[in-house]
Amino acid sequence: MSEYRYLFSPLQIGSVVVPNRINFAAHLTNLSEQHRISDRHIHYYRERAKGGCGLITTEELTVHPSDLAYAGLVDAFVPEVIPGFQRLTRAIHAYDTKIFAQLNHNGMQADGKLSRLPVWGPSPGVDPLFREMSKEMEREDIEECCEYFALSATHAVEGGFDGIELQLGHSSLVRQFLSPATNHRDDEYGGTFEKRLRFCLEVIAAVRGAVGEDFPVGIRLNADEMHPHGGLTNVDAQRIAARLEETGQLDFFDLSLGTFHNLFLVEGSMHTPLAYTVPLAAAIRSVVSLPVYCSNRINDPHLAESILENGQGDMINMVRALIADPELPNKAWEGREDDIRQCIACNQGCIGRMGLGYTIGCMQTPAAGNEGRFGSGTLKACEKPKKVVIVGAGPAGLECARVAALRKHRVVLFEKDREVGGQNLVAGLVAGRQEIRGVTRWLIGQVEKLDIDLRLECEVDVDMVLAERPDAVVVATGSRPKTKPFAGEYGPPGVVNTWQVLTGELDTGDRVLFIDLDGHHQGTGTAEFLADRGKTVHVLTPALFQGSALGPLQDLYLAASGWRARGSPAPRISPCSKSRVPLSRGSMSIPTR
Amino acid sequence: MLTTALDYILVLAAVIVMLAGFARRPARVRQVVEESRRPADFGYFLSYILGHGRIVGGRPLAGIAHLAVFWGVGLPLVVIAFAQFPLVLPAGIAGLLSLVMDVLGLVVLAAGVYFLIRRLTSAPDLGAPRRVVVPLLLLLVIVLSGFVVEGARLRLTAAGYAWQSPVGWCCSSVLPASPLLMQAALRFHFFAVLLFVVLLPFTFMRHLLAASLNVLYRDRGHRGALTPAAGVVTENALLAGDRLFDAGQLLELDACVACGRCAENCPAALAGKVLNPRRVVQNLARCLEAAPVPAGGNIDASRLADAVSAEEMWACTGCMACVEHCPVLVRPLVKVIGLRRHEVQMHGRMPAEAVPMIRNLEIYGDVDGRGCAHRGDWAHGLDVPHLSERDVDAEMLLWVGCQGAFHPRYREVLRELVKILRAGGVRFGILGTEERCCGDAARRLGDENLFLSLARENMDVFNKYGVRRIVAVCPHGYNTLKNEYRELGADFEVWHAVECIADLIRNRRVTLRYPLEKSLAIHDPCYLGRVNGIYEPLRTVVRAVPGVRLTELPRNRERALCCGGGAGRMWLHEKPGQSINQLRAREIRECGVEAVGAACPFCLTMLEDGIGSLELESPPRVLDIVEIVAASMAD
Amino acid sequence: MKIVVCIKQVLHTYARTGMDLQDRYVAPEDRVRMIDPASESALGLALKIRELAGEGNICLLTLGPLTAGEELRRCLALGADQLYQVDVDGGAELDSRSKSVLLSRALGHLDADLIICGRESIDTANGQIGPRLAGHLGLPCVASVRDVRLVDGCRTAEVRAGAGRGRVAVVSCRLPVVLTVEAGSAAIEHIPSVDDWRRSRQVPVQRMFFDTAGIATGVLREEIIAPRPRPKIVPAPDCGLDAFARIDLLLTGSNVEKKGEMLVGDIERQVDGIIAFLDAHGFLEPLQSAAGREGVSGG
Repeated sequence: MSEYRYLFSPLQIGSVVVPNRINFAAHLTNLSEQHRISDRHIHYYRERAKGGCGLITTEELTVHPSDLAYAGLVDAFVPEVIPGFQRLTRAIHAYDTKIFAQLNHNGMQADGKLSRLPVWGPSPGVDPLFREMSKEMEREDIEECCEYFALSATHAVEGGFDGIELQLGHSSLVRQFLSPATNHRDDEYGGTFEKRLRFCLEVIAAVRGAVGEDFPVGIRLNADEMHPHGGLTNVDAQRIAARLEETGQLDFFDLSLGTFHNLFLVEGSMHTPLAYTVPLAAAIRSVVSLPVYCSNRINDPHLAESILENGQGDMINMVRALIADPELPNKAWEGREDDIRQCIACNQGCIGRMGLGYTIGCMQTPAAGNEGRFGSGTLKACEKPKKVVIVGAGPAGLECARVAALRKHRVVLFEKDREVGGQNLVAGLVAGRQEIRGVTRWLIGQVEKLDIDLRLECEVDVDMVLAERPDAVVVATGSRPKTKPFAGEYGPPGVVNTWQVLTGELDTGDRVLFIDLDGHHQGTGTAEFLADRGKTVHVLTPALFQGSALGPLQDLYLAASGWRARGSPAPRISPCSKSRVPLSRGSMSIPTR
Repeated sequence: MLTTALDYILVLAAVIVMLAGFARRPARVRQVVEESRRPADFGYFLSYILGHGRIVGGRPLAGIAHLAVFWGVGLPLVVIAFAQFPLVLPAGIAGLLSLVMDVLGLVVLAAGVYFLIRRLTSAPDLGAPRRVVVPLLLLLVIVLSGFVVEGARLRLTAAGYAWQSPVGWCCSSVLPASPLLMQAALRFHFFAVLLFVVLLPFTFMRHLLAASLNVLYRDRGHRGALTPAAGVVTENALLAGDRLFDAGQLLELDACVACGRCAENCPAALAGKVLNPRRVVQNLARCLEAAPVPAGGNIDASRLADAVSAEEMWACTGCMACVEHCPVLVRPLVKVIGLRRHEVQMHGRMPAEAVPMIRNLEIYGDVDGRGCAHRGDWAHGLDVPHLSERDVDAEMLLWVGCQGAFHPRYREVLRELVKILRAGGVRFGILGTEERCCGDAARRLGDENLFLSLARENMDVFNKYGVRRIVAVCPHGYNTLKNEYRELGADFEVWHAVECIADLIRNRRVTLRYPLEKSLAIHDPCYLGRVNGIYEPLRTVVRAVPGVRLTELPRNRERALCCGGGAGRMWLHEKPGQSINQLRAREIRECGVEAVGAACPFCLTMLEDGIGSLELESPPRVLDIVEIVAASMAD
Repeated sequence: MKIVVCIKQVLHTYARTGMDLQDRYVAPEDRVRMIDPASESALGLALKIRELAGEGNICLLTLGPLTAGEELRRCLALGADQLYQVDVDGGAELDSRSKSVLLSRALGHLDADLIICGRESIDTANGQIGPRLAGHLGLPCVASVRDVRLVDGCRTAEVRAGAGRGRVAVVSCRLPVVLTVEAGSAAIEHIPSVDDWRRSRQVPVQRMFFDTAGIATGVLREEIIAPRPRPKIVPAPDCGLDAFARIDLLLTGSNVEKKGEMLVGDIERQVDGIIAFLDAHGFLEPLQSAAGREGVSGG
């Protein structure tokens, strides 16, 4: 039974009926082994199929050896991949879920470090992220590329996929051909709109020719490049979509947004509003009649339903939402929205780890990427219930209590504060990062449903813990800021730490020197917090720039755009005194109050 | 010893007057036997009257006093009657008899005084009858005059102290030796007895006969089954109910002694609502008295209906407490339902807030109007077989019910139940979209036609699949299927989920390993407990869960207070007085338990709301027993 | 007084549970045959008017086969007196025009003082029958009626009708008149009693035949397209703007509204701020008219 009118209604995409409107869209996972589908892939995708999503689109499968932008890419152009595809699709088809393969060539958004081959691009140019001059594709290259697209498509068909999605989105060769910002050719593949579209049409025709009439093929279109120097706009995307629909060779339009110039739009952080790309999708959908997918930061089934209800999209892409909670569709369907662990767009496990070359993960869901070991159904009740005493009801303590209680241990959870949540509550005080409190909100909701003896305002000592006669004790009292990060004689009120500032325990004067040693949310957030209160903040950091750790999280740009704090890199910070902070160049006095 | 012929004539006259007073009873009884098909049940009657168990039951003190009066009057009466014949007993036995009579006289005196004080000091509320005072006084006069007679006789015979009659001897010591006094006292005693006999049908003492008849011709059907409306004529599933109560019901009205045990246990009365079952029955009885039913004929329905206000009849929660606690087997609940039926069927009047629910039942077949298409949705992803599937291997039907199918909380319970039954190796199936509401709410709201049409639809489906065993999770559905579908030809076995789980636990097909370290009280759902006598399985099941500290609420088992959601009250607005669920919630709070276990969707909802409204710091959790078991079960 | 209530029987699809595209996902148990809720309200209004008038005859008029027969009987049981059925030959689907022509012919025989029908049905939602009937019969028509009072010896109706956006218009009109009622506006709070049912069973269905030759269906419903909602216009960023402005628009003005203004200062100033806001956005009546009213009442 579901109160959702549209979200759980079937959608016909080409010849395939997708049972509901939730698509686990394409994204990198780094789970591959030797550029093949691995068991971890299968566990990973199967977990989402089990959770009830209607459609899965695989991570990008590269169509040509020249494209090896990331070490973990899965190939699609060699026949050896087919058994892996088949294992994957069989595993997914055990559930009422369809699976599409995404085929891609990253084009100039790559470098030759891994492939040891020239980087292809429509025109010579440099991608802001990879910074390698690309080679303008020759006619032969273009033909070869189309052939490889077709070849890969046949592999996908043979691999048992239900459909194919061609990546024309934020990182793809075809988009580079489409965009006047990257395509400066003056032959038949560049110049006018029609000419720039030519390569795209050829690729689609080649793929359609390879897979036949009935096989669903669609594209992931860039809804707006938001390129600082020209590039495709939403109007262009509408034109492209309308033109491609005319060909009759496509079955759906998946959408993405932005390029590597503005990666923060591609994978929106918690500084971005929920479902921020919806107007763009609605605009595309108003000119085409094929199903249109809507993506980016849709982490709630009601939000998804309202998008469908407002006619702004036909399919909802949920990636991070399903990484955080694979069971989201089923929980929504069963009316257990309270139980959904919502993505808070912290981007640490799903995007940050990708950028650093690690396998996919999730800050909230430890099982993500390791479904084989920790996925649903692996949490078994214990043989012999034990008494577990947990000290500290922060996120860690709560999660520990939750899992222990699910395993049927008897849990006593001590918290010295009046409310649970620990430092997570403090973190949520920072402007633009309130969503981080979602972590504890969900945990509290779960813990309340379980049989956990939660004792608030109870600061424990050893005797109290022992008095409970525990079989196991978990100390989850959390961390606290270093009191003396560097030598010297200093302390409050002249020198205060982020906790004291955020909780309002201590205040600063109007001019603040902010020393940020790790560049993560704590420091940048607090600086922002102070700046929001009208203080003049000067940030010192040993890194090259402020908020260096936010870079991989796609959070830097938007966080920084809100900063009114000036900053300067300070590679080394010498011992301080009560009143002076020595810098590599001179020193700065701490105003006394 | 009666001496003159006049005395015999007087006795005869008294008996004739008494019989005349009871004149209309035989007709009623005949009607009961013929119409309601209730044969006399002598076995039960004897055990009832001799044992007094039911009378002593709820109120031990008053019950024992009643027992004392009954034997204290009955035995001497028999002895004195026999004494009129020239029988000769051995002196020892005669003496013993005399001693017993003396003691009994004292006991009656004590009991009579107790009753008198009780009646005179009790608040003159709600028809609590003062009219019992006259016969009681008369009874005391009879006993006292008896002692005076005995004393005077002993004085005259001057036998001195006699161990056979200690009270008489005491009296004799203060009385003058006057034959006149003895004669006068004897006459007085005799006339008092005659007066008592004459007054029998016209005072409270008529319950001697009325109540006895009611017990003798008790309804031997299952107490949970409402009988079809009186005088049912089925014509296109329509009832022509021009009669409100059948003869058996009218017999019950006579029997009421207005003891007030029903009101003492009625949740609506306790919560200060207008409903008081004693007043309902008494008002109906008064109505009946005002215009006696012509022999063999029938009573005008509207007149009876006017005796009870609409607000009263819609306040009933159908909890059966009044039926459970009535010492003379009166069933006020059935009267109230009868009145509701009359109101609905004859006048088409029903509280406006219940009409949409009835419409939903009519159009969609469930109380929420979600539609039968969605009725199997709760089992999403559980892979529960439908009976309609081919080669389904099911030994039992799991009856889901409207609440199980649609109520968000209770759907969870259903899912847990599936887990338990699976673990226990029970092979079961569901009806999915073919199930309809069982009709309990419709029937208890008075819409008998709707009940019948829903029940017939369900029966057709049961017959289609040849259902032999059903396990129901909602006590209301359980009771309806088990007891009320019989009249439609049902012959399947119905289990409640808790019984089923108790069975699985007993046979060790389900092992409960994980402890629930909580103090827990059981809230007995009315339709499991009082109606179907299922008290122990709930406790067995909960006791099987390790770690549970089972405590009992002050009102438990037969005396358990209703949650306030039965008999369609779930869909009616709360009227003046406190909410019944809050009343129960306060009891739970005062009991100081950490959790309360129920086994009924309505109880779950009502108690959760009730406890929630108390806004406690750490409110007790309301759990379904199924949930408790599932949480403790090894996966 | 004779009141004719036009009752529409509908096959209401309340669920779409199936997986079969050919049936448009509809399974048999997904639909129920019932009386259109708006027609039910029309009957409710008719019953109320009869109560006000003290007497009257309520005729039900329905078109086509009695697919929801039991529900029609229920309408009779609720208090209607007669049931007329306009027979339609064949399974031809009629459009609003031909339906209204047939109904108006039937009404020509019924001589009604008051004709009440639902404003729009839940299945086709055309909302044409009432106005068209009025047109054919040459009668006035009042739409979205909430309440009716009879004045002038039951010859004039004083009607309260919805006038959009929650406003209510009071309309006075001579009878006969055609009224249309919205679903749910005149709920029937009682249910039929056994006698009512028994009586309803004895009411004969009076069938009426009309030649349909002249009234060709002009509009034919060939297909019902499953809902694919059209976009609610949330303007996409203007492509004439530069990328930064577009991004800014996207991040500030999409699904999550973040606009607002913090009022500061003491209570007085905050209240002034609220009033100024309400005034600026047209929530308050202009100050002049308020002053004008004051002047009148003062005078």
